[in-house]
Amino acid sequence: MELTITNLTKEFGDFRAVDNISCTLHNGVYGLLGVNGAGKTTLMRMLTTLITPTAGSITWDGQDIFKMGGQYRRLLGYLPQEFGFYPDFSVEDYLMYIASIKGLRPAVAKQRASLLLKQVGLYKARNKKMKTLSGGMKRRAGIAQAMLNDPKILILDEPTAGLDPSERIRFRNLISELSEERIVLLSTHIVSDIEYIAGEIFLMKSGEFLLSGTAPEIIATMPQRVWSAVVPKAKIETYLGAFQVSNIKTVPGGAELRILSVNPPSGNAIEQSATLEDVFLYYFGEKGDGSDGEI
Amino acid sequence: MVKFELKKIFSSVSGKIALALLAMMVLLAAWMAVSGVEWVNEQGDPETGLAAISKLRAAQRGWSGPLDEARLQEIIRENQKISATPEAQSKDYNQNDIAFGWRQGYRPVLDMMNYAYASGFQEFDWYTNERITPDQAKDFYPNRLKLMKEWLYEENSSVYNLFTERERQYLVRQYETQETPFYYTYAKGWEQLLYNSPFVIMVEALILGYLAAGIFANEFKWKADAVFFSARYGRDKAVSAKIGAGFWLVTALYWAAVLVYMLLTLGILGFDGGSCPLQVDLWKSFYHLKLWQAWLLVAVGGYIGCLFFAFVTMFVSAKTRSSLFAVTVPFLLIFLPNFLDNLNSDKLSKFLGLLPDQLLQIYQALRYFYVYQFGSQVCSAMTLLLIVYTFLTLVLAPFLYREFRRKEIG
Repeated sequence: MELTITNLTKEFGDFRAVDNISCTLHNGVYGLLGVNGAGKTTLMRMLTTLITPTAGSITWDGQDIFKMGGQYRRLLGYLPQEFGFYPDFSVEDYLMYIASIKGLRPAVAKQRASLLLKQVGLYKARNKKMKTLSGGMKRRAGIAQAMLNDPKILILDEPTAGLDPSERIRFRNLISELSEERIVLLSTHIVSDIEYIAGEIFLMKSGEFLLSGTAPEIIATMPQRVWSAVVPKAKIETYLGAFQVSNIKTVPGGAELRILSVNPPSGNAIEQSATLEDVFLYYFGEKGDGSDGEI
Repeated sequence: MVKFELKKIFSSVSGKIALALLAMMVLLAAWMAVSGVEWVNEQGDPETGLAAISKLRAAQRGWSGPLDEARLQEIIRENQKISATPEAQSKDYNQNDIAFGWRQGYRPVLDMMNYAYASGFQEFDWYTNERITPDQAKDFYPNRLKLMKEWLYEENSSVYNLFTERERQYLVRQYETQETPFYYTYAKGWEQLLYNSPFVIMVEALILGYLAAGIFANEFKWKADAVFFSARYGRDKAVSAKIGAGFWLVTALYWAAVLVYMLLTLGILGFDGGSCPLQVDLWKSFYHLKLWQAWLLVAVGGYIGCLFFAFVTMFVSAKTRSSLFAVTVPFLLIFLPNFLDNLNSDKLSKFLGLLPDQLLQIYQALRYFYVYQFGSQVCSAMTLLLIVYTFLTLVLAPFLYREFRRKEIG
């Protein structure tokens, strides 16, 4: 089982959303990390056959996925970033409908829906209308629909967007549980989502893969070191201008800054272990924080 | 899949409201049909309701039979007798109404006479029947043909250039081969059924168009398109299911509404008179149809029209990804030709006679003399409408399928 992306490019008019990227995916969880507009969603939409590439190819075990059509899509589970649904359907009806367009027989569909509803904690809410569910419940219904056909390729586009911290942790655990024996491609701009569950990470910027590898491999590529330094309040602005600062924590008498710098930024600076979040700041020039706000 | 597509439509509040509106409109149409039947009592006052219907039915049944020369003479004599009464000659309207009441048994025949003995084919004088003498009865059917021929061959008239020679011959032949004498009996049920049919069918076309507009467009509106198209059958069977849902939506609701309207109207007004010729109701019509056949034509034509409207709406909604725009399509298809028809151009009207809105108002179209020559063949508008729009609807389905399945979700 091998999903191969070769020199993939997608242009919208003059804008190149995905720029000549290549990679090969086998079983495991892959994280696609990048700021909004990096091209993550466009890449995923090509992988789900929703849009066709301008150039390059995507193959599944050597076969072009666009030529495979339904045979490829039967292997696919997809949770889009903007997860839409039929507002007046009950959760159960929704899953049964999606099961039908995924080609599951009604008896199998009923069993799968029931199992997944229990797994995502929606069994008690199965008769509720989709429009009455909370944001977290909708996302869980979304993951359930993606898993209905027990997909070999599970593509999750910003699955934790809009969830509160506890929901996000639950969701991450759920994805970990579901990740066996399949390719899971998870896109996010929230670093911690990926740090915990992804085996291999692709850092995407301006439509290209900037870096790829495991979290330690990616962290190792950063030439900067990470320092923790307590500075007086009056000097915070000076430090922010001079260094990349990944965190500011108020402490008595000033603030404790997390600073990226080759050399110690101050005499009292203590070196810290670098994290993926520091790498994110370094490469994207922005902070990939644990929140789901815009970066 | 089709079941779920239908469930998507009817589980929404707007779907339920549209369904309730359709039910209300059908009931309203049946009520209009029934309440449109009046009986003028011995005091000259109009009555409606079941008792009035029953009295009218009894009165007209008394004159049942072929409208041959003898029966026409009998009616003319009876009519003359009533015309000579003080009530008929009175200047008091109420007295006139009393006299009118005495004629109710054969009133539709008097209307036919008003056309048959008019001074011209397009003339109508409410009092013509009072000037006819029994010896003119023999001219009743020949006059129909004579007046029509005069109208068709009057070289200075605006109508003359509207027809080719073959078209004129076709119309004359239709009149000549019309089976006579006409059979007359109480047929108010069928007449009212036909009379209100354009209202019912147009309302159906609008409501069904509204419901069908969301079948494709709502996938985009609800942002459910990404999951839909990435599913195994998202670009083939599921698209077919949507088209199937459109077909079953129109088929089930259309025929249910038409059947309810028919059963209510005929159930109350009576099924009798279905075998009378259409000309008892529409004297000038050149179509050889019994009243029940005319109704069947109205119902089948309306069905084809509603199906065509719904498919066009679905196509537009798939193309534009907007149900809002698509839902205006039935309105445009219905009201634009009606607006253009007001321009009073005979040639334009002849063209408009082939537009799909005609299928929704076949009862009106049966009055018109729209015939079209293709080579040496002449076709009536009805034949063309049924063939052309059945074909276009069938052709539209694969286009609709292709249009939606190739959508990209960027």
